[in-house]
Amino acid sequence: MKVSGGLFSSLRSPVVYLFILFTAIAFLIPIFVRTPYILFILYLCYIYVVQAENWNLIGGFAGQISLGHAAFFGIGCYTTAMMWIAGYPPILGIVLGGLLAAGFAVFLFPTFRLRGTYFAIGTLFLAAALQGFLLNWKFVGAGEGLYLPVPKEFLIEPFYYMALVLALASTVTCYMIAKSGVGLTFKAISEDDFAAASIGVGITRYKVLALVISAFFFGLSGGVYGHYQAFIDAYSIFGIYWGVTGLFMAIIGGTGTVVGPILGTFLLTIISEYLAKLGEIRLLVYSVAVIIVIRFAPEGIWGIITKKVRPRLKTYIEKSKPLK
Amino acid sequence: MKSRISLPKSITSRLKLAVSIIVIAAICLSFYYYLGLRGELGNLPPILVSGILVGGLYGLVAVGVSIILGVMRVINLCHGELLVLGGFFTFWAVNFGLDPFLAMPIAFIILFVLGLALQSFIINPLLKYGLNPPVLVTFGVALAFQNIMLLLWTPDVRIIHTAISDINLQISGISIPMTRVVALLIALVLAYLTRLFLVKTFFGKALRAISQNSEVALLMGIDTSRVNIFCYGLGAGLAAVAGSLIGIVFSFSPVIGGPYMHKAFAVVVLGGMGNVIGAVVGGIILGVSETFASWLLGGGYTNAVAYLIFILVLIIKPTGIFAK
Amino acid sequence: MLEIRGLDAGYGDLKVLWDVTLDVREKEVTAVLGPNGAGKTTLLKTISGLIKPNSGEIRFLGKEINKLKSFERVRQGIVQIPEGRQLFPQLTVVENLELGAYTKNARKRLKESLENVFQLFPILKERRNQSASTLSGGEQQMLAIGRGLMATPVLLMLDEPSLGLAPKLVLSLFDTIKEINRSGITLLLVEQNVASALSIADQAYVLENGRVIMKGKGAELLNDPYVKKAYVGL
Repeated sequence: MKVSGGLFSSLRSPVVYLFILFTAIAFLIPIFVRTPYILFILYLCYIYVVQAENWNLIGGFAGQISLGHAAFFGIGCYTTAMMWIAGYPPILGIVLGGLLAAGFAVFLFPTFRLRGTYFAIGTLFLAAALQGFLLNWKFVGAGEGLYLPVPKEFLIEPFYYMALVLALASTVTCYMIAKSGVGLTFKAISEDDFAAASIGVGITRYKVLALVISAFFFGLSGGVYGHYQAFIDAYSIFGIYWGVTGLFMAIIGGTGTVVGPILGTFLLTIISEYLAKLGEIRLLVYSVAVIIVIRFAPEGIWGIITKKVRPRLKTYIEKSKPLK
Repeated sequence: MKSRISLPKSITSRLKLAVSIIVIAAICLSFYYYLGLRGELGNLPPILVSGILVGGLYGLVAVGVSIILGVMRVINLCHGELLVLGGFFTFWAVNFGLDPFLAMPIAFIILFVLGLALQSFIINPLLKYGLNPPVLVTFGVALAFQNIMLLLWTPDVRIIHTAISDINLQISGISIPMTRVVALLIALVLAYLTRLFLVKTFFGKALRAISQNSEVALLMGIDTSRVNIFCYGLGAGLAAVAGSLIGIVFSFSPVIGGPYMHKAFAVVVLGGMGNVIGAVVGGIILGVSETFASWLLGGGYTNAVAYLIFILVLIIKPTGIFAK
Repeated sequence: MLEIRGLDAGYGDLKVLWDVTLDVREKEVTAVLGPNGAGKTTLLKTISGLIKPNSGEIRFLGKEINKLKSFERVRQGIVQIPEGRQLFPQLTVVENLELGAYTKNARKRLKESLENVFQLFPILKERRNQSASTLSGGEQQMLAIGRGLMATPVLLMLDEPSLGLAPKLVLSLFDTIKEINRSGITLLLVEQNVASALSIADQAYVLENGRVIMKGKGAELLNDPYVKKAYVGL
């Protein structure tokens, strides 16, 4: 994890400027681009960024792998949907979704008593349990799903901006956490939680913090997603897809860094657009890509760039400077 | 890895154990009384028997997961898919005319070899990076396998027919399908053989030693990588047989791997990591609880039972009921 | 028997050993002394193959062993008894000992080795079927040494065997160690208990901050003023 001495350590860092540039461009896109389809893809992309960054918070920074974050996504989504049906304004539903999701994180606290392995299983259970529960609950549509009150004229623009702002907020939050003392603690925990505990770090407290924040943002992302759907059902919303996509994107891009998940998200989104014709293969491609990346480049693509490409670039730049 | 059961030593844990036993006994007794009042006692034996029979299968799956977890500290998230692969192999073998009970040992061997390959090429090289990368890669493998199976063999549900599939045994008025009894017997025999292997053979002792202290095992001249590879193969082979049995007793399709794996995890937590006896007993406990739950509350909630057990064990005695 | 030249080793970016040069002569007891954190355990781990050195070479019986994996080194006869006992807690005394003889060669002589160990440590024979975690500190140390002996070592390395033992036990421990040496096994002894170690050592090295700062015959070093002041507390 790049805490100090990394790319973000000084404001002269080129990556920070690139980031600001891209964000500015992102804000301006809807003015120039009118095709709803492209805006939709970007909107999804930002949602994935939120998921990748926040999965990374608990899975990459704090080293506790979660496989069932779809639970939090789903809670946010369903809460927002129900609020929407009940007639409340979108923002309210979305925020409530985020808070509820964060609240549900409580169910995972007992798993912190044992080492990280059981936390992963716990998250699987949470997602599966919620899915099962909602599939049997008539109020939310049970197995048939829920039709949402989409108005005749449904613009993507407001949701595009909501997703963008959320992605921005997530990235900035993760960045600030990474640079702060909390970030250092996370790094210590992820490397060796027994050692961290022995020097007096309240490791559970930090794990809880990471979990709650990531659950909150996942819930918000569920809300922003849910509010632009015409139909949702528990099978897909709580299913493996949403639990896994954020994770895969973070891993391929590079866990443990702030830039990695964003990189991974954009890469995978581009690739999956090309593969859209193949439909069902998407998950297969993702999973094979993840296997290859973990096996041969555990630090992700951003890890390769920082470890191999950057130093070589630096020496190249040094060498091509004229001698004085 | 435990080869014997012992009582907890401290006062608080003895107290906890006593309280839990008393509570469980009270629940069972009041339940019995309640059923007696309603004249439904007659239903009790068939449900118990049914639960035990199912539980044996859960136990078999759990043994494989438990050994891998105990020796390598890796949560084998693709255990479910290995299980289904085993089932498919037996299914196709039966289609070609081979007797299913002959096909099972072959399925064991094939999946054993597959397990060896998976471990040596993909998982083993990652062990030096910590515990998270191997777990993540098994997750990737699980999804990859599942999607490949879906593509190749469609999500259709299949059943493996055997010569004894239609026979029902009549024991003191209860009608039991013969397949379930045979499945339970096979599961118990395999579990017993595994235990024998762990306790009596040198290699098995080495396995147990590594699960207790892997660095020192190296100093004994034990080739830990080779043992890890064997151990994973063993787990995969056991999964193959379990999958075949499940295909015979129930039915299977490419997507059932997940739920069985979830239940196996609940059983492993219940019985203690690395504990073969614990896995079998835990499986039976889960099986019985599930059958009762499904009788009382209806079929949709069976998965919730596993989750409940998982959480309860983590809260009351995280190391499992049989651990020290 | 064991020649170490210019060894640099550590954990990742953290370098612990700097240019260590050391000789262990056959049939002798060689002691490596030094304060906590000097790198003594790191040294043993590197010899056993648990740590890969950054540079330098290790020769055993004339051959370079850097490429060998840990378990292969055990097969060669290099056996380490690690710091803090490190037994297999849920296995019995006998099972721990049997596992010590895991390598093919050791397994052939298992019965013989077991008899030897029981003769050396009769209390282990008494407690043979007890779980290793039920033994007292001194008994655990005996079990650890016994387990090491089961591997039919040519070079036996002990990492701080007297750690945590009562003084009376320390005396009998060092007697036992001397006896093991007399039976023909070369010893490399890492210790903080300088007085006891030097009393049985033929050769001794002092390691401080990862560097060898002194070397000499056991008896000589015992009388050396620096050693006396820094380590024996006079």
